[in-house]
Amino acid sequence: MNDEREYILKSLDGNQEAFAMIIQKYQTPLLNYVGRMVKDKETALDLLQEIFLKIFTSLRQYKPHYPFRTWIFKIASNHVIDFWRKRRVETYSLDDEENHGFSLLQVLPLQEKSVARKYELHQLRKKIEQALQKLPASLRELFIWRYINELSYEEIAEIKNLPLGTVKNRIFQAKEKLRLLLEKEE
Amino acid sequence: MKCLDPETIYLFLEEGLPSSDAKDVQAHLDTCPRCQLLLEDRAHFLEAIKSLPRWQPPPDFTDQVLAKIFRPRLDSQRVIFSALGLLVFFSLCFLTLVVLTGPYFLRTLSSFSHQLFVGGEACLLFLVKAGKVIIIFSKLGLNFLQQGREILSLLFSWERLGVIPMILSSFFWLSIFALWAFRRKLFLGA
Repeated sequence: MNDEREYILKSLDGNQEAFAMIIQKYQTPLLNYVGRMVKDKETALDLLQEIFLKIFTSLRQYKPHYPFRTWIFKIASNHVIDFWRKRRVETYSLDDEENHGFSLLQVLPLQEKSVARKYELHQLRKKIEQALQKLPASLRELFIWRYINELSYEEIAEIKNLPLGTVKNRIFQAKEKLRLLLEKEE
Repeated sequence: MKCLDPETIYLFLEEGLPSSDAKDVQAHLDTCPRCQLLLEDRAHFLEAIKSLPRWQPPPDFTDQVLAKIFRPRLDSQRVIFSALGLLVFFSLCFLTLVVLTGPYFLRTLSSFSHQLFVGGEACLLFLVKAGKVIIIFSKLGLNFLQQGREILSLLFSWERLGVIPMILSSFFWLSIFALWAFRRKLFLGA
């Protein structure tokens, strides 16, 4: 953590090596987030370059009391939203989703089939990856942060400025909707 | 205890339940085969989710980003040093010329200054002549303006008041003609 603070300070002085350390630390988590949000690795890499450029130019505005990882993911999230706005990509709000045929009642059938046990682990991963792309963007984002970037619920709540309970509920919805999508695929 | 709902199962699996609740859940699981199946299913699902493959950026990604951020900029120090370098270079060239030409240098220099003087004189003469041309043209313009003023005063004098209706009527017919000629542009916007 102290190392990170040192890298930030050195980067502010224009030290390339220090900023390289920051890039190396965050490039993989950010690529996994951005890539799964825009569904294309090449576009994701371009966006990632822009995100790091934004991080570097906004570094002076960073307040040390704020967790750096959260700050970085906040920048990335805003950048992805900007990208969608520019491309006019359709994104669903949570309110819309409730009218898109997903409801929690559908997600929780009484006699539920075991989706997970039907596939081997590697098959299941592949299916999940495909189903993830069908998940509404607002849920997909939180899901990726929680299970791929391994952010805590608190960190996610901080990034999205949402109450902790809402974040937990949305991530639960994401998991169950993903299961529903897998069930539908069978 | 009632059968477990998926949310509780996830919380149990991710250790998000208070220890007392976790104990109750464990007690229920020990006796309920349906909930055991549910737990097994969600555990397998969570395992798959958590072990999704991680994408890796290309090995030169950091260098690409750094190259974009830290583009070589033209700093003032570099500009000053370059200018000084050029000055030194040209001075050295001049000195070499002096050394190489030796006694001929002064002669060349005086011939050059003579040529410079002749050229300057020619330039001066050209400027004087150009000035004269400008004065002639301005006089011509003034005369033209005076003539115009006289014509206007003649036209609008009380004695020749009949000229005004003639001019007005010609303006009227001219505007009618213009309207007809540009009717498409004016009324249809074509």
